[in-house]
Amino acid sequence: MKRITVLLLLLTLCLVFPLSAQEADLAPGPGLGGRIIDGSTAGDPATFNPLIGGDTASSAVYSLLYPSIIGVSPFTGLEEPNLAGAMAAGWEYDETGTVLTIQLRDDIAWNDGTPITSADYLWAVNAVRSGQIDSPRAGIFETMADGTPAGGKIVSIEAPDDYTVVVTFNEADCISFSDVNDVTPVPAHVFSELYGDDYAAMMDEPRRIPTVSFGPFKDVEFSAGERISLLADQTYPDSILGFISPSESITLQVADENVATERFIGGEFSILGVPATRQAEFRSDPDLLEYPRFEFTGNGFTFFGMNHANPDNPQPGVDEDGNHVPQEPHPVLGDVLVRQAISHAVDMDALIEGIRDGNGFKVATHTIPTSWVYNPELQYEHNPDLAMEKLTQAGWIDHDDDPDTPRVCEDCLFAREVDADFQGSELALDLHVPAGSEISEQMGLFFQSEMNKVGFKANFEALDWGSAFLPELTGQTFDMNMLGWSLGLPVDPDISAFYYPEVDVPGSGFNFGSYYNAELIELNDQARVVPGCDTETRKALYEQVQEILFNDMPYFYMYVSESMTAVLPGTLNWNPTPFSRTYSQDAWVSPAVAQP
Amino acid sequence: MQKKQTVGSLKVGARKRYHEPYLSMTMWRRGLRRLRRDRPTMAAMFTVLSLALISLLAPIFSAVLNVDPNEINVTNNYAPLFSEGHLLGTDELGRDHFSRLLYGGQVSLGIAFSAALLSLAIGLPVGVFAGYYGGKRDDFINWFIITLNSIPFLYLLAIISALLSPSPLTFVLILGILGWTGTTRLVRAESYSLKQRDFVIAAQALGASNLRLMFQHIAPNMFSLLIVSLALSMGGLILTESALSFIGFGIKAPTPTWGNMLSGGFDYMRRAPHLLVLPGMLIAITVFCFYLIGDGLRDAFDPKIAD
Amino acid sequence: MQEYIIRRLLQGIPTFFGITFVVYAIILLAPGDPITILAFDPTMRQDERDRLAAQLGVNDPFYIQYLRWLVGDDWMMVDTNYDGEVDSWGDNYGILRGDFGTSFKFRGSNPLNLIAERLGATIELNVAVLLTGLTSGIGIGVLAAVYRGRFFDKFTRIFAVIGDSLPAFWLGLMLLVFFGITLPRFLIDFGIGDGSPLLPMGGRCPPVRGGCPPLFERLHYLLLPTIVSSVGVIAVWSRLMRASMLEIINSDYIRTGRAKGLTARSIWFKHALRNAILPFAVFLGPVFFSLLGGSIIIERIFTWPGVGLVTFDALVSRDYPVLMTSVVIAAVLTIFAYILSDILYAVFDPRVRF
Repeated sequence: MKRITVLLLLLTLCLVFPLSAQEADLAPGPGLGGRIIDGSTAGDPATFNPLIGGDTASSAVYSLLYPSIIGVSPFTGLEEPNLAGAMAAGWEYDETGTVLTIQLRDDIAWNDGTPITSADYLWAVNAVRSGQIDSPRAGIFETMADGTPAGGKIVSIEAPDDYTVVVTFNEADCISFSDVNDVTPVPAHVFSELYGDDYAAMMDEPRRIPTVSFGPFKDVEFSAGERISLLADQTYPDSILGFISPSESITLQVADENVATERFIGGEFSILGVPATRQAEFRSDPDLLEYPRFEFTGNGFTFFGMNHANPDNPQPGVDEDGNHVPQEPHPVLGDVLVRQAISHAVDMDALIEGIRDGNGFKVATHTIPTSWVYNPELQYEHNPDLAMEKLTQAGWIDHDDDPDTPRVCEDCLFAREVDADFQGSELALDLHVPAGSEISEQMGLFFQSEMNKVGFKANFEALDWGSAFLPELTGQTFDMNMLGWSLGLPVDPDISAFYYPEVDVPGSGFNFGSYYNAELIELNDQARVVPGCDTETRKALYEQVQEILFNDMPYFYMYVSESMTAVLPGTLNWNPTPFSRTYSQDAWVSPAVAQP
Repeated sequence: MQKKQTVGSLKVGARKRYHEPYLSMTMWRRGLRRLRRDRPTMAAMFTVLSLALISLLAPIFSAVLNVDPNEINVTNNYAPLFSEGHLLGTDELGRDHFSRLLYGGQVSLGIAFSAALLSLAIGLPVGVFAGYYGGKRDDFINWFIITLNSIPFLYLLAIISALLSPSPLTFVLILGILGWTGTTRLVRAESYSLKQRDFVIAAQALGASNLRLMFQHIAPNMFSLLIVSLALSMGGLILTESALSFIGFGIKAPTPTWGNMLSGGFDYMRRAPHLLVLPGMLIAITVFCFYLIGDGLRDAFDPKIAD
Repeated sequence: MQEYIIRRLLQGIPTFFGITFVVYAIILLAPGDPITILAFDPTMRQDERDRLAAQLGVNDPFYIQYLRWLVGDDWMMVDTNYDGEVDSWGDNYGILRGDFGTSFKFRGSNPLNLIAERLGATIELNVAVLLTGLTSGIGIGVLAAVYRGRFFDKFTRIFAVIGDSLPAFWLGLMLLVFFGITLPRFLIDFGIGDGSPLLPMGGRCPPVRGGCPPLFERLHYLLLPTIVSSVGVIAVWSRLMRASMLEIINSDYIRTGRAKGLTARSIWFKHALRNAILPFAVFLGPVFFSLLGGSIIIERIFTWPGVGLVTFDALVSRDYPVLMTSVVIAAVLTIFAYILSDILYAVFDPRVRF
């Protein structure tokens, strides 16, 4: 893999070098590649300690300072052995599929010279499992150190020798493999000296500056609200070129996306994640065309969640014994025909072209185009006539032959099954989006206008995220709310966290729409424990899962957003991939930023 | 101290006329005459009144121009100024920008006017009360105002509107309920000085009740002061509304206001500058006019400035 | 005098309780809770979420939370292992004993530190704004009064009002783009500069390691934010100064001075100015501290790492301890500023007696 990387890199070098001949003073060399300055709106990192942190800003820093146990390839988004910055040289399951043995590389060391061994991983595992620290990762274990159940799959993690780690799972399972990566190895010799067995002490100094690290950069300097700076670590053995080209990597805080964009155009940043509303300018504005840009399909999707159960009477999905409890249907969305009608009513192509400037990839299930289980054949059909037909079929009648007035219930599902008084009610529902994003508000308005064309009476409103949108969503009192999930790496098609009745808990669960389909659960469970985790078998099962999701519509799946990253003209060795826009940053040569 | 003054001025008051309306009539007439000669102020008044009128007539304009502020047409978005069928172009959803500005003006001006009026309605009685009675009651009101003012205004506003997701109506309530302290301070000082004036003392001597003194003799004499404060606070409120929109705690979509149109326009500053420039200009012009009016009125009705 | 100061300080105590109680009530009684926001993560299990809620104590009734925040809970038995039963003494001391709790978002961080590390930047900017705003405001106001009705008076009056009518964020972003991009690119055509920003487009110092250089080396970073936020101060103070000067110039004692044959210069600048400034000098404190809170917008536009942004962030993420700390600091400073200005007024104005 590493060889391929180098090859690819050489290829890029050949392509880039002749083009930028006039930038003669810029050449890669240890620490000669200039400073990388990135603008970030993520805010201050909560911590530099990978065992207690979970937020984006924190992980952006500590992922540069600590290895991972198993690397995820920036090219495929999947785990591979012997990747740069990762410890695993290979792994295998035993015949039961429950015991995983990981062989570690013996050629890497922390930057103080101490070899990186299984002890480093184990110290981190013990800290997380101790229960003394607020780790978002504790849920991967079956039990905590004191025996309290933690709900995860990992029974034990042991290290028979310095370069072997043995992980035991409580069942053969195809999706828990990546749980191993949730714990980041830390230099045990440093951490045990600092904290001993008192793991809780880590919580008292979340912003302690790491002294010993393993990564392309080291020596964090943090200045609250302003910047995080890291210096090149020339001892890092896994660098692409054999040395670290940039001298320093700086992340500057910016509070406002438009300010960040203008500062990049002004020349103050060397790289910019272009905000969705500004991407069209970088594609078409003659002044901005000179900026090299990389566009890729993001790792996450946006959707309108639909409430299948009665919002006036939110109920949990299972009883005390864990059995599914059927719920009253939603007056409008409870009927699958109505949900499908909505999918035919909204012209997603127009939305993506008109509102998102073409910057989105239409999807109709929870899998994204970069995923190995993606099925391109599932697409919602935009067909207002079909939408109206399905509404009529569902008992929502256009009583006055005027498509502009809302349809009314005439033997619709809710009137048939729950309340006969519902006869004659209008086809009305609320469309809510989180306030603050111009684009979300526009998409909400667009949905409203498209749905009203086929006879809905949709009321659009943007709601404050914390005080109105979330309480209504998790409280299960909404009708249709727009939201996005960003997915982790590696891409995982499992749906148990979203569509199982166990997570249908008013107030906190993530099956907030109270969706239930026994067949879907059966299929998903099967795909999770396929013997030997055969990819083809699993893929076939997940295709059936997608088929069901497509027809049942727990969500109106909308699109996967296209992300865009731009760099200053003249940047060398910038080799982004869909899974990492910065993976080659230790080879970058970045032109000097403007500094008045 | 208070008592001594009352006695002392009574003598003077007895000699002088106590028929206050006569005095204020001349003051009014003089003020209006000055105002009429103050061309910038008159122009500002004209501008604000026309903006308000045009905004109020938004439905008629929309009908005449055959545009709908809420009709979405994403194939015709970012249309420039003076494009076909859209006088001021269209916005990011292809909605008619001109009619949206008018409807936004309704909301922005409406909020500013109602909130200013509300804070006046609270601030005037409280201020008169505090200034008239003085002593413990005044101390308490003063303490209350200091308490309210101890939290920076924008913090308090942001906290409340973040937590309540306000509609235009609740927005007016919030702004009014938080904004009355300035008026109260002004009124309090003025009523403190008015109550020592001859006509009040005379009326008191004739047996007028406290309530009557406060609201028939003191309050009406603050009319010019109140108009000035109303004009100035309307200007300030329009700015506050736009600032809150910028940090994301203003009126939410789909209700248009000049503030949220302006802060939304930043996203399209290069592609469709008119979406940024026009609402910004309307806000700036309106606020500028309100400030001019406030200044002009003060100059016109301030008895301390001679002709 | 001493008695007066003590009395004013004592009056500050109910103010403090009033503010904290009201703000706490508003925050806690509003819809939405920090757990929904902090734990909006599908990978988090229900029991973890419950544990977090118990740890942060956000499910307790409002008055319990307020009391714990104010006076702590080390005097009562609480549930420390979150099993629903009280088992040991609490470990909060309350803000009255200097314990501001722990940030919800930045777990393990003391809210006081989170605010304190930003306070320097805020004070830096506000001192600059105050100095610029007051000196130009007073200067313009005095000159406008001296040259009343002449061009300078009219020009500055209009200019101040225009400046005050522009939304600050709009003006800020326009200036940022103008000096950062438009003007330098325009100047390239005339062979001036290389198109890089003429003024920094954000931040308070260049991105170099080793902390910010001394202030005088990075004054250009202060320029744009100071201009944008002092426009309002200049507008208000020049208007006040002009009115105050005119009033005093028409007063009896100045007329007496004229009759005595004092020079115009001495009348304007020695006698009138001193008396005109006095009533405003005492408002310095409140003005300064109102700037402290009002700078969210300037900080956001110019990426100024001040207190406003932390507070804003705490508000959005429902980080109650940080938000409350910020409110408490702002409130205490403002209370002191009011007291100070009252005392100053009493000291300088001979008409006020205790």
